[in-house]
Amino acid sequence: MTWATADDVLKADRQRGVTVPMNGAATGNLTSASVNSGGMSMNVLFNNFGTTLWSSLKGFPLPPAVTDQQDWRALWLKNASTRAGAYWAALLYKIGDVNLAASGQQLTHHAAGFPITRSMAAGNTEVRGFPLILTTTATSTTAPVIGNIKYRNGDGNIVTGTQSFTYPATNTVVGSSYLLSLEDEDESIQDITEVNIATPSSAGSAAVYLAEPILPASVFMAGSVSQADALRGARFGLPRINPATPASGTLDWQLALMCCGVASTNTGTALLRIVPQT
Amino acid sequence: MPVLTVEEAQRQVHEDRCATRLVDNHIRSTRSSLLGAGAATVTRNGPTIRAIPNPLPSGVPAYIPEFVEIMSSAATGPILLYEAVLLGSLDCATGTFTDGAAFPTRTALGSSRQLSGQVVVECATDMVSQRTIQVTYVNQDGTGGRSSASHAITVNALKNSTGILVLQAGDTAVQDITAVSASGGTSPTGTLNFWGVIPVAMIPASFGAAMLTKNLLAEGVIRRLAAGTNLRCLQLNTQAAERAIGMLRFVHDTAGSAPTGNKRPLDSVGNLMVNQAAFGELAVGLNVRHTPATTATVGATSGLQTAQVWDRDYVVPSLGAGVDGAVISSYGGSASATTEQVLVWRAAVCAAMTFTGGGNRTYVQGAAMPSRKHYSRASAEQTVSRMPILRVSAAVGGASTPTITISYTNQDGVSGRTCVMTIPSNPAANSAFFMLPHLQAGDSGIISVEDMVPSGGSTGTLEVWGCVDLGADVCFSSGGGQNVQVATPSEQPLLQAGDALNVVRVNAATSVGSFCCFDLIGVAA
Repeated sequence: MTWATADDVLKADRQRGVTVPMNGAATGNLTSASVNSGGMSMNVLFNNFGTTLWSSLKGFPLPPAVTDQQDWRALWLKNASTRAGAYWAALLYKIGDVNLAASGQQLTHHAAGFPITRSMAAGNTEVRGFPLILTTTATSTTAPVIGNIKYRNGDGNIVTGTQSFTYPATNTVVGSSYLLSLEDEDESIQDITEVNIATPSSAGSAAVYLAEPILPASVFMAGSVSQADALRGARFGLPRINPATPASGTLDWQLALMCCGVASTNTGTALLRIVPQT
Repeated sequence: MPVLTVEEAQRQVHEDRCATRLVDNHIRSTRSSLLGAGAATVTRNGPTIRAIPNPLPSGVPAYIPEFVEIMSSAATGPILLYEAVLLGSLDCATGTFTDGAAFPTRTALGSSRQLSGQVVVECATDMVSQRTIQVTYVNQDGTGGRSSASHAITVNALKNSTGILVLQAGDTAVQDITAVSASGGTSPTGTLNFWGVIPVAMIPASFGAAMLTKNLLAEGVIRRLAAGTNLRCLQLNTQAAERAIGMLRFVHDTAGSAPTGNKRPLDSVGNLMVNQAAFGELAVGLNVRHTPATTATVGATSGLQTAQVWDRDYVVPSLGAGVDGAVISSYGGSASATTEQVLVWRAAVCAAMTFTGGGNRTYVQGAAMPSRKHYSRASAEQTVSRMPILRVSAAVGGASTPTITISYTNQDGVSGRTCVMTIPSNPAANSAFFMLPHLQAGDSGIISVEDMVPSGGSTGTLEVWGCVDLGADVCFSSGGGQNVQVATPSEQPLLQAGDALNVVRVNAATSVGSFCCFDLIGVAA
C-alpha cells in the first residue's frame, strides 16, 4: 500500500525498517583526476568485509529481500567517512570491463542487458546514471587514452562520442575512479557499448559502471557526521534503494558510497536506513 | 486539484509519480569572462541540464521541481538554476542576428503578463577573434529601442563562456531582443546565444567540494513547469575549469482547477503552494552593479558600516484582481566578493537636501512612511523604517567630513527627534550610510523627516530613504548564499504595484557585480 502520509512511512519504519551498516575498506591514496580525465576524482567506497581491493568488490550489505521486485526506500543516511567531500549513497551497475593495454574497442560488456529500468507510474522507465570508470589494474609506462566511447544517452539515443579521456598519470593507481566524457548536451547514460582505446598503456584494466545516486550525505569536516533525511529534509519523499531491472540476464550491482572530488585515502563509515513500502 | 501540500508531493514520490534527472557540465578548460571586466556580473555557463521530461505523461499537467543538489570539483560560486528562453543568436562572421522568442507571457501575481528578466550571452561555439556587440531590446515596461552597453567580446572566447548583459541606465530587465549590432574583430567566427533568464533558485556553492542539497519546496521555491521547459544552470563568479555533477527530482503535478488563494502565504509550504497555484509566482532576477562608493568612517557617526545602494529600483508591477499585495519568498544572492546583500522596500524618500555652500542647503520635504497592510491583517498599519538610509544622490564636494543633523519622527510618532551624522569627505553617489546607530537614544526607527541641516559641504545632494528590509543574504568570498523565507516569523508588508525595491550592498564600497533572485507571491484579498 502506498504511503499516504509521513506517519505511514514512520509506521512502516517501526515495523520493518532496517539499518544498513556501511563499513568500508580503506582505499589508499588514489590518483587525482585531471581536466582531461573527467575533471573530478571519484572515490568509490565498498564494503570492508568480503572486498579484496580492487579485484573483488563487495557492496554494502542489503537484506536479501531488496530485489528489483520489491519496493524498498531509503529513509536516511548518516555519514562519518574519514574524508571530507561530497558523497552519495549510490547503486553501481556493472556495464563491463575494459582492457586498457590494447588498442581499439576494448569494452567487454557484462552479460546483463541494458538499459535497466524501474517500474514507475508512467511505465517502465530507463535508469539514468553517471558513467563511472574504476581502475582495476594499475596502468604503467603510458597513460592510456580513450579516444571516445559509444553510449546510450539519458534519452535513449545512441551516441558515438567525440570526447577523449586521458588517464591522469602514467602509473594511475589501482582503484582510481573517474567520470567518462560525454558529449556536451548529454548529462547521463543508460548504457555504454564501446570504449575505444586510442593509446594503450603497457598494463591496466578498468571496470565501467552506471552509477545511480540515491541519497546525499556530504562530510564537511573530517571527523564530523552528516545526515540526509529523505522524509523531511534533503528530500520530501523516499527514493528507491532496490536495484533496477535488467533488460535481460542478471545484473552485477552493489550499494556503494561515492565520494566526489577526493583522491586521498578514505574509509567509508555510514549508516543507511531503509524501509519497504508494501 | 494541483499538488498543494508537502504531503501530497510526498505521496506522488511514493507512488513513483516523479522523475529524476542528472546534471553534468563537462567544462574542460577555463572559460572566458565574456563581456569584459566591469560589465559582466557573472561568467561561466555551468552544469547544463537539458529540457525536463517531454512529453509529460498522460494526465500530468506540469512538473514540480522538488530538490536540486550539485557538487563541483572546485570550491566555486553558487549556481543559478533557471529557465532559459532563447531570445536569439548572432553569427559573428556575418554579423547577422537571428531573432528567437521573447520572454513568455504567463499568469503571475494574478494576471497574465509579459515576463522579463536578465540576458545571458553565451558562446555557443569557440570564437575566433572577437566582436563588439550592442543589443537593442524592449525593457521591463514594454518600452522598445533600449540599448545595452557596448560589449567587447573577449578575444578567442571559448565555448560556454558567458556574461550577463548590462542594460541601459534605469532598466532592470528585458522582455525581448529586437536587434544586435556587431562590429570589429579580424575575420571573426563563432555564434553567440542570447538567453533570457527566468530564475528558479540559487543553489549553494560547493565549499571545499562538499555538497548541499537545496530542498526547493522547503525553501519556498514553488514552480509548476510545463513540458519542454529548458532548465539550465549557470555557474556564478568563476571561469575555472571544473566538473560539476548533480541531480534533481521532479514531482508530477496533478490536474485540476487552481485553488482560491489565501491570506497567509508564508506560514507553511502548503500555503505557499496554494498561492503559487492560485496566482502564479513572479520570478525576478536582477543583475546589480553597485558603483564605487565611499567607505564609512571608522569610529565616526556615519553608520558604522560601509554600504552601497543600487542606482535604480526594481518596481513591483501591477497586481491582478483578487491579489491584495505581494510578498517575497525565497531570496537568493550572489556577489563576486564577500559581502552582505539586503533587498529593501524603499517605502519613502523622506527628505532631500542639497548643499549650497557655507553651511547652507536647499531642503525638500519628502513623504512619510506609508500605512500598509501586512499579510493576515485586515487593515493598514503605519509602517516604520527600521533601516533608514542616508543616501548620496549626487556626489558631495567641498567639505571635510560634513555633519548632517536630521530631525525626524520616531517609531512611536514622536516628532523633533534628532540624528546627527558625520559623513566622510566627498562621498560618491550611491554611498549609503545607516542612520539607525545614530538615532536619538531609545529610538528604533523613523516614520518621517522634518529637516536636514548641514555643517560644511558645498555641493551634492543627500536623501533620507525610509527602507524596510525584505530579504537578506550573506555572500561568501566568490560565493553566494541562500535565504529561507518560508515560515519566517516576520510579517512582511504587502507590496503594491509601483513599490520600489532596491538592493543594498553592505560591508563593501567597490564596484562589483551582484546577482539576486526572488519570487513575488500574491496574497489574497
